[in-house]
Amino acid sequence: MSAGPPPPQPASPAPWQWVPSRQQPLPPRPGGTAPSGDIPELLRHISQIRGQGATIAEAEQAWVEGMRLINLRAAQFPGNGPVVNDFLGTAQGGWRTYRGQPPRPGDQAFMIAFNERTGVVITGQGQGLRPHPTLPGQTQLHLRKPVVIYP
Amino acid sequence: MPLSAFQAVNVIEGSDYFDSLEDERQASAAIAIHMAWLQHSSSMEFFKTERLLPDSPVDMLLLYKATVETFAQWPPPPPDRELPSGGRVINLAQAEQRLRSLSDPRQAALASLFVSNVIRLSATSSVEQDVNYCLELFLRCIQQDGVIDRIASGAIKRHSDLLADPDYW
Repeated sequence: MSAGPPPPQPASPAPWQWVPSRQQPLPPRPGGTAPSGDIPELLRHISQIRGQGATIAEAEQAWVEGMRLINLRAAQFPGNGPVVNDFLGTAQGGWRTYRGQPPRPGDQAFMIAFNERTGVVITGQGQGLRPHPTLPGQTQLHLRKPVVIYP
Repeated sequence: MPLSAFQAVNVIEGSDYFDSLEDERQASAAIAIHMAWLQHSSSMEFFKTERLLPDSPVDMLLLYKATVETFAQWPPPPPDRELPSGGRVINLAQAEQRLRSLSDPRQAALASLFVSNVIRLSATSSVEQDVNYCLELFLRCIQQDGVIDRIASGAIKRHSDLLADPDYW
């Protein structure tokens, strides 16, 4: 489900794990693959645990494990999924960036980025990533209407 | 000779233009070429299969505009028999050869329009544009299954608008 290097491992195993409030997942909305409500709930969880003291690496791990769980829950619906959470790499400035799978070629997909230097977590719309204006070979996070998950 | 790393000019101007597009077909065209850039030329580690690099810095504003203008009329007008003269481009001969190699009539017509747009828009660019790189990127964009129709119908933009709601992951 995730490519590239794994996120930084916290000292203790999954102390900030997300537990879905609904034992039985709701069907995905038309056009989505994740059970309805799961990802908004996981995003709220990421915000909450950062506020409660989880490090950015721990929050990132909670995201990755939460998405794995959501993928399993999504598979309960015949013909649905997978719920993709690809690790694209680290954009300039320390943004470790994950992306869902575009449903069709040419489409955009959701992105979420964890800043390993500042601890900020962000999602948003727009280009997502663009060439860095001044640093050759670097890719820069660039979101329109960004939604800051934390702080 | 390709650059050792992707370089661009007019990045911020390109982003402003990208964000300003409201028309569904125009915005779909810009999104599709941007996604092609992300997949084939960005430095993100996930896209390791190919690193398509230009011989000169790419004018991102020009790249988006040339793509958007290629889809400005639909169905597209028949391309001129000759590419425009002038413009600040390099690797034109390779691009012309590539255009002649295209067997799909619709792709060939769109690609010819696109190259004409790149040549015309490059006249005011601060850097000579590698028109062959631009063409290769454009072809990777439109040769994906269904992309031309999804740009033309504006479906890519409509899907993008759904992404304000994370339930559509």
